[in-house]
Amino acid sequence: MAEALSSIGYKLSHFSEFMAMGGYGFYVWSCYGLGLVVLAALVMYYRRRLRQALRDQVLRDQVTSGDGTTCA
Amino acid sequence: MASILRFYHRLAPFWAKATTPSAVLRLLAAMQSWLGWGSVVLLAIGLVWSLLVAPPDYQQGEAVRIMFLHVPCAWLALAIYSMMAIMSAMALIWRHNLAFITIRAMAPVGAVFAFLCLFTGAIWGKPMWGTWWVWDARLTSMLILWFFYLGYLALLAVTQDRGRGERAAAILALVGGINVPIVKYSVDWWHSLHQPASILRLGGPRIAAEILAPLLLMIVAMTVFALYVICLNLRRLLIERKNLAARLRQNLVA
Amino acid sequence: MRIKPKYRRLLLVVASLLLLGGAVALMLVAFKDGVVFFYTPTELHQPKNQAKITPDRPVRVGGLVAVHSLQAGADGLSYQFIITDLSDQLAVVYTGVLPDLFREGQGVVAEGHLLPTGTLVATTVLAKHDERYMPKPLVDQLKATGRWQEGQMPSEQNYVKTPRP
Repeated sequence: MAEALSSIGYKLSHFSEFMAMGGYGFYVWSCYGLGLVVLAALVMYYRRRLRQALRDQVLRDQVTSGDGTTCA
Repeated sequence: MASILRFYHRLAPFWAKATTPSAVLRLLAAMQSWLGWGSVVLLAIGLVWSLLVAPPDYQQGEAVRIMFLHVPCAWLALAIYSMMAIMSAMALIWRHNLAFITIRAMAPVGAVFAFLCLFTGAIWGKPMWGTWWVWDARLTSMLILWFFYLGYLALLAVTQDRGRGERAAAILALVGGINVPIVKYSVDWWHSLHQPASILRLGGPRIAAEILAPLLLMIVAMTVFALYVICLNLRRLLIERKNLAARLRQNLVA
Repeated sequence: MRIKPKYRRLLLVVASLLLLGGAVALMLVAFKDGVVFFYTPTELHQPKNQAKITPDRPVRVGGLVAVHSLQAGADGLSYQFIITDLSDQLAVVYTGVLPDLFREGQGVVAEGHLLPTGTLVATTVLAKHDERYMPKPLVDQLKATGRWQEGQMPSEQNYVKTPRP
């Protein structure tokens, strides 16, 4: 644990060296960057679709209760 | 055999009760926040470990960190497809609506992971192997897996009749299941540029503990994340279907 | 006897999967040579493969870079080295940039044309990574205690066709 923390501390205090990734910075960061963008977009898209569906459900319930009729 | 059948028949009512849309919706709603927060925590620890703590490889140097993203994506692309193929068989045999809809919920998630696996693999291959892409058995079979995902999604998108479309797409998913063992064992069956399995191999993993631990954590974290997205999508599909049914009923009443 | 529809579908699915699986397995066996990404030097020199290798078609050869075989030309861009599968070997000449993982004792795949002398004039050299991942201090420690074997690929079945002496 102490070793891990010192490794984190070292890398954050030598930030440009960390970003350079020993010369592989472009490759490493483009992988992680694209992964982050794609997966974040995936989550946001399906969260929005779920919210829409839930909203439709609430509207539908309001309509049925507003009429005073129930659909069996 | 007879006792298995008896067991199956005794279990069937409970199974039927547990797989009604409303029971599944309750379960998904309860699971959603656990999976969501679980993946946030696990991914945060996993990413810090992968990027800041894990030591560089003796040959690949810092480029080895691409593995912590590439391998979980490959694992999920294969695991999700395997689940889809198994559930397709079950769905086709028992005509269970929930199975059809679950496959539908999984497919886009698996397709995204297959794409990320190919993409990160290409970027990793350029500095290490010296090429973005070669037509060796592993890379080609993985590309075919991605095409099966896309084919499944396309087939669902173009068919008008939902039931028939789901059945046709399930047949395609089932057929593509044959490709899964080919992807996994391609590196053992043929000479390929891609190296053989490092984790799931006879004789145990060939990765030092300091690199294996963050890799396994990332695999778990990404799996929880994938389950979270599948949960969101399945919940959305079930509610949409319920809404549609209610709307049709309203139109009938009106 | 009337079979319930769901058992009929079960039989149908199982039967068609068996048929399809068998067909694919047969195809893969039939195309085994076509799927091969490279030949090892031993395979390259086998009579059955000689017929397939013509001067007009490039050929890929894979194996380990023999230890102490790499020589760099004076221009710093041309190299020659030997690919070995530990039972046979092949000389390679190459002009270009070597990938980062290219090392003596490590896996490599070279693509190019064979000269009548048997030397491969490579147009592409790709490094083949093995499935070991470990930090450098651990490797140094293994080397210091004599437990490190350079070039001993765990994927030996890809390289060694005969038992080593």
